[in-house]
Amino acid sequence: MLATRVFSLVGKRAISTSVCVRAHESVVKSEDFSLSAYVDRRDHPLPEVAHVKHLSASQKALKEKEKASWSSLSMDEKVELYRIKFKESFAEMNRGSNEWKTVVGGAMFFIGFTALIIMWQKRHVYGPLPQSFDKEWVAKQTKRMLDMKVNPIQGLASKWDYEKNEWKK
Amino acid sequence: LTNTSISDAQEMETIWTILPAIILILIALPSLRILYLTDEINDPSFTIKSIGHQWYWTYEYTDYGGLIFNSYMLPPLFLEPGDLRLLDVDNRVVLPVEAPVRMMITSQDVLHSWTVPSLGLKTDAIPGRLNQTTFTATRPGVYYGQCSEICGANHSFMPIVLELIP
Repeated sequence: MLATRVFSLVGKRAISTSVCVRAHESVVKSEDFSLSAYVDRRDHPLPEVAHVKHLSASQKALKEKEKASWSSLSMDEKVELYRIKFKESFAEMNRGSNEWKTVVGGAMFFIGFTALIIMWQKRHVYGPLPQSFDKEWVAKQTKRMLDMKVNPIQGLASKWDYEKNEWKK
Repeated sequence: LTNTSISDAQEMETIWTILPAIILILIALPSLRILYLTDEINDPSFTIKSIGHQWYWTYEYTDYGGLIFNSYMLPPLFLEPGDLRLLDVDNRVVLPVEAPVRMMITSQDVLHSWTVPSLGLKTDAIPGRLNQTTFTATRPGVYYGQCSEICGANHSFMPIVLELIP
């Protein structure tokens, strides 16, 4: 069988990968990842194995009762059977969390910290702005561009009213 | 859930590959022809050579005599208040208005690009090649442009200034 083939591949010193032998294991080994596992996923609604593998005596009795007509099961027994099969209900597995608050808070904190770094840079690292940013220089520059009639059709000079000597309203 | 009705349709597949290819060729050939036809016939009054260097331009007016000069950006310390930083140059390209001009553009070392956006001009300066652009300016004034092909450390500091005089 496949199990024995896998067994010879894994090597005699490893724990056997045969499922019936593993039913008595309680410690998770690395070979577990090649076997069917239980998952709570809304896109995989029927997991390959049941949640509870080793039934207690009362659970075994309940499983026997399940073989009869289901209308004879009480609500609690039905819930107990569900919980044997599944770990979390859909409502439980899809529940939201408060993680978003941490994420948003963390992002805002780092943005604020970046702002502090930038303020420090402006004060201690950068040199002064070039002279051509001074108000008087910009005024002279703009006057020169208007005198030259730079871009008179849709650009700068088109926004200036040459008759009234002011910006167009 | 098998795809029995959406596979093995060789004839249809051939048609809808070949037919669009033919249609595209029928569009492309006249389009290219028109592209070259729209290259205007200008009959320029005169020709100026513009040679890009790292990091300045050389202009040659050789039609009527030999005027050759370099055009460097004005360093910030040399600017007068009201000058345009990074745009003004020491020697401008002076041209007459209403005259069709032919610019022959090339480069001495690396790629540059001779641009005057307000006149709709952009021509690459390629070493070993002469590119031509023609234009006719109708408005007098001063027109600025900047080198538009990365050419080294001072690529942002080799502007082009045209002075159109009526």
